[in-house]
Amino acid sequence: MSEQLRAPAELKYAEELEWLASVDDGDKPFTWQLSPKMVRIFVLGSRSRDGLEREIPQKWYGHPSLVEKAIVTLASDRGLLLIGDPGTGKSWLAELLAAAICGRSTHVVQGTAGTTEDHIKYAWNVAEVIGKGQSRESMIPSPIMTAMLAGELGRFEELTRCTSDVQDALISILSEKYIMIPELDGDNVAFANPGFNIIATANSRDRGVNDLSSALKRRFNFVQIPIVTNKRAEKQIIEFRVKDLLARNQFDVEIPPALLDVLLQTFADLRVASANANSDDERLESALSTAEQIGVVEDAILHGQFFGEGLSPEFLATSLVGTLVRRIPEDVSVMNKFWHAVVAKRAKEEGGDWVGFLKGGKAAMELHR
Amino acid sequence: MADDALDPLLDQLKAAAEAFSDDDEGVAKILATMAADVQRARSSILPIFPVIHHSPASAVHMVRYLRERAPRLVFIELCEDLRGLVGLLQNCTLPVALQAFAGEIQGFPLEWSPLSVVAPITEFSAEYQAIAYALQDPEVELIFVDRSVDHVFQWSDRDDPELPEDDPDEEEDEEDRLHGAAVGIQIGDVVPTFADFRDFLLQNARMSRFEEWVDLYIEEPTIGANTATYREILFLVGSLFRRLGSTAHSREAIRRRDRYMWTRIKEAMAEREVPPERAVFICGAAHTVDDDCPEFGLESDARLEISAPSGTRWLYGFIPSSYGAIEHQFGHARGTVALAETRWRKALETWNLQPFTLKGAGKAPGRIKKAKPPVQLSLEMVLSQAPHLADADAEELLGWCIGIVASARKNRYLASTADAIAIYETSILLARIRSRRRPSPHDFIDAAEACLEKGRPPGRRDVRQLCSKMLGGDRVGQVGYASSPPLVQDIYDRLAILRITAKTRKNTRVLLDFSSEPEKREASKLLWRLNWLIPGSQVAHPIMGELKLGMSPRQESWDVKLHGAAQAAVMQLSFEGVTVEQVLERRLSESAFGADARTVTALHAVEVSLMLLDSPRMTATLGRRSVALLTHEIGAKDAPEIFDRIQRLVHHYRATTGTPEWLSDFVATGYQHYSTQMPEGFGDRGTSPEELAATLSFVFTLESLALTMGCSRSQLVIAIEHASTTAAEPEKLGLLWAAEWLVQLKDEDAVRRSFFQILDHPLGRSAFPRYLSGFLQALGFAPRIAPLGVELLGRAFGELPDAVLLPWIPSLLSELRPRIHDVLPTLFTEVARTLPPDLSQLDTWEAPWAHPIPTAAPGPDEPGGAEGVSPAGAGPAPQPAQAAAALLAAQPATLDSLAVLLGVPASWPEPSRAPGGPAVGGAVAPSAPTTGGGRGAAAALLAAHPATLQAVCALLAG
Repeated sequence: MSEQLRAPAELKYAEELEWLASVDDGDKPFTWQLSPKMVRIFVLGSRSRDGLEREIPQKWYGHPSLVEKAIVTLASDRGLLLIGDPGTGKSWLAELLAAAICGRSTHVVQGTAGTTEDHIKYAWNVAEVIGKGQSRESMIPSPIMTAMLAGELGRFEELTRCTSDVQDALISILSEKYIMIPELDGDNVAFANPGFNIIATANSRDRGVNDLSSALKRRFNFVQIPIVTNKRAEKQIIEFRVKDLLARNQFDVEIPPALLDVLLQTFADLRVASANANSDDERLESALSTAEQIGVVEDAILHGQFFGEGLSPEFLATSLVGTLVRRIPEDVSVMNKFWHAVVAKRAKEEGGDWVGFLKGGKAAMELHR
Repeated sequence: MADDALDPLLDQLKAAAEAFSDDDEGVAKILATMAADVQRARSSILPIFPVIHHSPASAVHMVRYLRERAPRLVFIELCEDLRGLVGLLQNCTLPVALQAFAGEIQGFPLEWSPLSVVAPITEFSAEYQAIAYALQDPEVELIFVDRSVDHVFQWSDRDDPELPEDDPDEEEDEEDRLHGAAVGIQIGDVVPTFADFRDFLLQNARMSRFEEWVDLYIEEPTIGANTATYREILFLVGSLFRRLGSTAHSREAIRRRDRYMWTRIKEAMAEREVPPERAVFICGAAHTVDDDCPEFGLESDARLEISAPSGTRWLYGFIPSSYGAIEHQFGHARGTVALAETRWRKALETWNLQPFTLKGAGKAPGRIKKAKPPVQLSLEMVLSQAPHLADADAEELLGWCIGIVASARKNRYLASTADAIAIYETSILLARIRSRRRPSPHDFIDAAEACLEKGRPPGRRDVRQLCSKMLGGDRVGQVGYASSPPLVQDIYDRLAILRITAKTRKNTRVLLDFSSEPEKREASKLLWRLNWLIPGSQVAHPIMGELKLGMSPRQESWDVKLHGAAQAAVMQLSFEGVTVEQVLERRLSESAFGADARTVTALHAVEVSLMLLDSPRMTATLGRRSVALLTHEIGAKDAPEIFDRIQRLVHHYRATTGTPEWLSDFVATGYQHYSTQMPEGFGDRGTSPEELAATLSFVFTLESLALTMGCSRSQLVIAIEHASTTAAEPEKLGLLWAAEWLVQLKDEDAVRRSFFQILDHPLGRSAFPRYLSGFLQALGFAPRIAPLGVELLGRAFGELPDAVLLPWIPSLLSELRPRIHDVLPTLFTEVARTLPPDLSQLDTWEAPWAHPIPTAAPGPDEPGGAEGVSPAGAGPAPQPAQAAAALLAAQPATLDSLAVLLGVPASWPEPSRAPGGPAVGGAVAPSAPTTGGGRGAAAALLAAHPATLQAVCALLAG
């Protein structure tokens, strides 16, 4: 167990990465620590056909071809842009890829409306500049520049939250693979070392806010990460992630399969209701992603553990309502209608955990009135 | 058969066996069983040739096998009763589907009707190669041995008849729907039905589509192997999939078919003196396994007792198919069949193979200049040719990369040469990460998608679709003239005048000018019939021209399409009759005589029959049916539509051949029927005022015709009197007052007073709009009430409080909007006559009704109508009839010209005093000219032909 609250993937899976590197006899592009096939095994887990002596657990759940496309893009001349709805695992995939390929996933720039070009290229230590003048020593390289110099992967989260002029700072980095530092007289070009590339993520719900310029689009390969709608895969993801998250609190809880089915079915029903809604007011603001289901389960387990007798349908419903109701009164109204039309029907027909789930949800909605 | 190239497949199969067994002993047992299965299939006296559907490898090895072994008897796993069709395949352009269809079924649940089965055939399928081989040599006999199409349904699960399901997320073209709702039959289905087994295979191979798995582990290693190796591999795959990959249900279904096929094979072998080794049994890999099947193999004497057919009458034919339709039918990924065709062509070129073709079917292998004998390649030789193939593949991949970038650019993607380079590089990297020797089309498509797909331009195909199109695209078959059923041949014959033939493979735009080419009128009729019979299709789509009762067009323009989906739709018609007219008659009879037929459907059938059939006998039959249906009609729900249709028919017949007997009967029956139902209708809350208005329209508008048929007006008068005791709703009361006025149970002043009482009553005022709404409904059949209607509207707007008026206005507008053809013109004419013509006169204008009404009630014999409009003290109110007469008399030129045009002498007799009011059917022609001249002419006419009036007098006296 590491000391950090949340260890980055390269630390969390350090032993596994080290072992994979030791048995990896495949060709490695540039300075990659693992061959593309081993990177795939690290992310998607091993299979019997891989012929490895130990089993490597799956860490990201989704279509294998997406991961393959992402890996080969990073080995090519283009940057990788992962696009998807919130909670589809874009950042987690980016982190895993960076950890497996270069052993460092922390060269991260978080894109926001306030991100400036300095955050992408470099800034200056004012005190140093006053004291010693502008030099490489007084320069503060951005995470992207650091990755360039080290020949590692830089990550750019939520690229489309940045304004277009800031985004376009990436064009020369991706094309020429160097950054000019005009303030310096000599040694004023920071060249990227082999192995450098960028993994960016973008939220598909932000499409149209700060669209990428054509020039920048051309320098990225886009990989679309869809919402997982397959119940079996979704179940695996939730179990995996919830266990992972709860390990931070030093306890291990088994999620009752029947209760997990209730949650999965409710989200599936909510997605159908959302797809059939006629206006934004009639659908929940939430993307109803797998990540939100993970959040619901984690919250319910913690609640049950600390204030009850473990995970119960009532806590699950309370947590679900609390997570999904964001706009008041619109979301309450949508949820109330859903609860009485769908959940009540299931409770009547199927009974079991649905009854407690129905009751807990109603009680939670009362609080919002 | 051990070879490096096949190791991955063997690894896969072994991993699957391990995953589905508990221990090493279990694995060993499974492997031993598989080895025994392979051995048994190899050593069968009757050679078994396993195939996979639409597999180029199967087709290639089929060609090699047939050329080398030249069997005299060929058994194929296809429905035995489809065999009769294959002789006609040579007239078709592939892909086409053999179809069996049953419109009327026996022995099956009715909800399954109609039953349809399709078996699509592509050029690069093993079965087509075998069919072509057998048909081109008269000494070779071809026998289909699988269960008949009737047994397909006999053996179906009653609750789940394996009807195809739709994938709502799938974007579909019209060509994807070519097979309609038919059940698909394909030889060599290989997809495991046991979901866990299938998922394991895919997860172990990190793939999402089973087609991809088959490509990588079966197609690629076997297409270049020798035929013996190919057969062994497929025996092995068949064994594992049958034993581990099938659900118990599907395993039983396969076993039952095995028993059927082997029984048929034994029967055929017993009847012929062909040694078993000169025959071949072509079937799917799963059927090569003896899985508790007593009939399996010629060594066994066991035979299945085959159940009798159900009694359903099956019809057989062809429909055009397409790659998209095949993929849609069998749930393959989009582009799969096109990719298979690409691989087939490449294999033919690589090994200089000469495929079997039927004359006229498919593409002739023009590129192969000289047919070489097939080269029997061993696996070692295939591997030794790898560098040559690698070069060809690199060239091919380069071509794809350049092609997709060009295609993407055409579809408004931002794509450049840099993208082509990136796709090339990414394809190779993907192939390497997926352990492939060379990039497959799947790798290329994934690479293209990653490099180019950055938001689909609106209305354009996405990159995956573009790739699929570029790698082969969809191909749509065409059924030839000689293979078409009589109905379709008849259509081609009759459309030949428009230069549309069975070989036309594009949409044809035709302009028909009947004045210069009257002979094309028959073709136009046929197009209208097709347009009606196949609505919504593109078979015959009118660009200019319309179909209306009694209309005789001078020009028409059509878009005609008789290929692809349109040809399939026409082929479906052939299952209903031998000519288009017969099908049309049948459809009309079904609609009029069906269990759920209503009067309106029968009248609709009558209209269609009049417009499209040219069959007075059929029209009269349908008409008589509509009369019978009307007598059983309950309520007035359909009254508006019935009135519309019957009015149209009356006008049509009056203008053409005269009213037929059935129509007179209909009017008389309708008059009596609606009169009888009127009191109930006025009292029934379920009958709307609009429906009542329609029944009154029928009665009043067609009264003259009904009276000639022996109806009595007293029936109507009594009905209206009775209705006044049942009507309670304000709208109905308003409507009833109008009806009472028309039959002279009330006069205009009485009606006016009734409305004023409501308007003046403090508690009744809020309901005034409802009364008035009902009254305005009567404008449709009684235009003479328009002046009072306008007056009441004026008073309502002037006197009703805002709280009542404002909520009413929107509903008034919405009520009047649908009445644009009957109520509104009358109302607007009257409003325009009453209100000042321009704003300048508005200040001095005074509403004609802005004075108190006379207090004394008018005498019972005082006429209503124009004479009663003027309120007392209002001065000389305009009297429309007299004013019009005066105007026309002062300006006679217009009417004189009209008279000359109509061939009537233009004389202006002295105006005689108008009679008190219309005696009968005042509503029928209130807007007819009431000039003295008109009446004089009428009087002269009656004097010249007194018989009618004398008869009426005698009737009244009697």
